[in-house]
Amino acid sequence: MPIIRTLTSFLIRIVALIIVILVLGLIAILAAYYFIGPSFPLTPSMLINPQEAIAFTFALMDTDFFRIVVFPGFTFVALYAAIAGLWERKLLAKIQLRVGPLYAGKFEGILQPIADVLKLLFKELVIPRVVDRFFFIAAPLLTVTIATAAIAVIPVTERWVIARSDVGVLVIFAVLGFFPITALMAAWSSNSRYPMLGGLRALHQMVAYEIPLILSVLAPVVFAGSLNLIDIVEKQSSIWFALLAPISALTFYICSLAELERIPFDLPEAEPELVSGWLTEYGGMNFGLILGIAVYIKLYVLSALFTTLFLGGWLGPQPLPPEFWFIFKTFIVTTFLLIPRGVFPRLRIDLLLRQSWAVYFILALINLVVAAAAVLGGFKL
Amino acid sequence: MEPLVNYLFVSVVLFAIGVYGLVTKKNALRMLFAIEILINAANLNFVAFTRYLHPTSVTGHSLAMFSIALAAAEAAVGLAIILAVFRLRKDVDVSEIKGLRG
Amino acid sequence: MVDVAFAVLAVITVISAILALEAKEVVYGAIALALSFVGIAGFFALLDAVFLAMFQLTVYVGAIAVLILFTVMLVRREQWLKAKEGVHRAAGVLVAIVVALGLGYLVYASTIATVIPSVEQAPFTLIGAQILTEYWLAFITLALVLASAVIGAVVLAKLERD
Repeated sequence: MPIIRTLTSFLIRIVALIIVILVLGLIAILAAYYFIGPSFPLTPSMLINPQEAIAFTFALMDTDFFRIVVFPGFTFVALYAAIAGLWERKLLAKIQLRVGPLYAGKFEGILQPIADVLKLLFKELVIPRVVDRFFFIAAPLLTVTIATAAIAVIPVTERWVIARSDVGVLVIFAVLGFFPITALMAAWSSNSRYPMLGGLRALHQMVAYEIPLILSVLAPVVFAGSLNLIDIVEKQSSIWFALLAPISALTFYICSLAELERIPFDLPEAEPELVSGWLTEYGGMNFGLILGIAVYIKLYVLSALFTTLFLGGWLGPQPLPPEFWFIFKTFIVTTFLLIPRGVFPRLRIDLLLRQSWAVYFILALINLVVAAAAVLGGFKL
Repeated sequence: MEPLVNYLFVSVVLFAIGVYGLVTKKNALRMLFAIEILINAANLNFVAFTRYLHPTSVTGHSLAMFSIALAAAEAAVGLAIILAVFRLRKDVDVSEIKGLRG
Repeated sequence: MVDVAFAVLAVITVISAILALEAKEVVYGAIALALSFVGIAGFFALLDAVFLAMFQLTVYVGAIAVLILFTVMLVRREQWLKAKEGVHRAAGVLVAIVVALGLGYLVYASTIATVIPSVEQAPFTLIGAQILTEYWLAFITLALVLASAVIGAVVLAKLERD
């Protein structure tokens, strides 16, 4: 890609970007109308008559297309990811007695995510010559795709789910199993020493912490008697599962820290040791895709899963709508997932792996056995 | 729904690919890939037959689950053997490993 | 006659299986193998066995493909064996074609050509009930086999550090 040298080339790029966005928006609107057109004829009177327009909007919100693209789907998650990115930096700054990003936007740096995205979009996409081009470009795309696939089964309320599946919990397990492969693809295609080491460490860590994660998810499943996430939330109307299975909640929390490669399980990206771990060779939007979007989407998925399984999902006192309760609880869980970065040191890789097998696996197993014994002994919810 | 024979044809083609791999390849890892393809073809067969001939029972599914779990165990042991042999001889070509040949 | 989803899945699975065996680098072969596993999971989902499809994805792609990739990383060599397998390859293709034609004829000539008009598939909770009551012996044996496989694999692959 040509490097930006002059003002005119910069302006040409901005104009081209605006035109591309407009064309894509037009295609999106036409696709939306094609998908929902036959059932909702858009008559010109709807533009004038507010009653019809409101009815049309509500009918639009019930379609699958809206669910996938807007509300519990991609736009909502991308917005959550952007807000989580800003919140992480401000939160860590306050913990470390700093101020954080301050200058973008009038109020405390609120436009910082937009500034970050613009910066990453305009950076030169460096693809070294010795890398394996197909996997180098495919790995970040696959990571983002698979992370987004997991949000299909997460229920924000019983109305707002993309896919009502009877095996919702298993879908999450299946999706979690893909991440080691994409990490290894990214690391191996970089064809260099530090990414390879970081990639193998990331692989070890993700695979080792998947098992306590799965075992700790099974305890709420045993209490609820169903793999359907909506049923699991509905069974929590009398008592939250975090109180019935506290050790499982703790193990899930720690294992999601490990799956997200956050401190204290930060070794695959350890700055003083491995340059930048398995992301070393990625620059520009490639980096933005992995470190920006995919990590925060995974963060949303695991926080939402914690809320659904342990904190009662969308159940809450009535005056506030259930959607608000879900988002509020998920945000609190995200805050707790972000805080350890400013507080804890980093674990060494052999201690990390030993902890997963010797400590968390046994804790999760104990809670699963206790839950199974309780349910078999006649504990009904 | 698809006619049952389509699923069976896909399973037969995969089985043939697995047999080709097992017969032709000398790299131990490729032979392991061929074995996994064979097992997958058989599992597809089980599930297709269950869906079409006995839709109200789950016996084929249980059998496929046992098969998948056993394939995992066999892949683990096979890979450990390949690793041990590679450390000893620096080679994964099965036609070179003839120490026990009389 | 042929569903679009079925045709696409069939093409993906078969071509990934061929690529898994024929790719120059073994790493590409391993990733193609993972793709064919995903294709088979798609077939399970088409056959209304969603539980089994997710199980296949979790175990095969999430565990076995990762294990294979690990080993492929550790067993890399700088130069690969050139494929001087001319006669063997032709013989292999011939055997594969004979097997395919033979089994295909068996399938075609039998009377299994029925199409089921959407009878409900049994719920997957029956699988658990069946494994724990009717096939309990196989279940316990499977647990023992898995345990011994793990112990054996660790013993075999352990580095002897003096």
